[in-house]
Amino acid sequence: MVNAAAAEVGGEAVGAVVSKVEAPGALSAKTTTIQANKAAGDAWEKDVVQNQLPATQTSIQPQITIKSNGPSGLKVRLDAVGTDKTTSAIKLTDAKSIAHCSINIESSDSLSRVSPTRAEPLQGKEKPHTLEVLQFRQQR
Amino acid sequence: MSLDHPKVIDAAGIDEVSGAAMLTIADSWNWSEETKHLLALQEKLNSYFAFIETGEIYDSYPKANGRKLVIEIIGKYPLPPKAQAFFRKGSTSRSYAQDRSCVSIFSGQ
Repeated sequence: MVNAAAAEVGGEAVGAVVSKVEAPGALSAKTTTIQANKAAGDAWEKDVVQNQLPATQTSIQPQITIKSNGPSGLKVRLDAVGTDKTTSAIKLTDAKSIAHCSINIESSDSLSRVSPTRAEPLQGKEKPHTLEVLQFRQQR
Repeated sequence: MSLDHPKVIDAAGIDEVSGAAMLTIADSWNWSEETKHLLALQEKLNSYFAFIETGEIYDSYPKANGRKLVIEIIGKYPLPPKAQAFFRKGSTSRSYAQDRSCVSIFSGQ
């Protein structure tokens, strides 16, 4: 059976191998999607910087490249998303807090605000600074 | 694309009302892949913390000197519950990791 021999390559059916190779059209569609996502992201960033921020901010400086070596060794580090070693499930790790920095939850209009009861200056490498608020704002 | 470039501060500015120095993350991603999105935000936020903690902010953006610092995430899509939890955890993580810092979350939900 010539046809049967030709249909097997290395123990795997040719049809199965061929099915793993994406058609040029599919690759092109993926590329198009990536390009579209990038364009949408760039447009969003441009809209934020050029239209949204000027409504509330001055001296806006976009696109500052960070020179430091990244977050390794940081005293302040967010590490809330992780994988459970036992179940491999993605989970949000319980974060610890300290008593003197407990938070209050206030309600105001449609906004839910969580604010610190106390905020003190951080001592940076050279200059003190205060990181007071981490806030999330949706598109208006 | 903001979250694709964790080593870039998307924008820095001065809030006209509070006078705080604002470090903005322009988040254009939707939440169809929540975990991937949260991990990307986490990486970006940690870069922002590094930018602050090392004092690099004052070299790159001198106007921040002497001002309160605010990290603001402007999202294109509403926060799902898991993301809200993430920000709450992140907030208390800050308190835990650096006992002289406190952050709060301002959620538009």
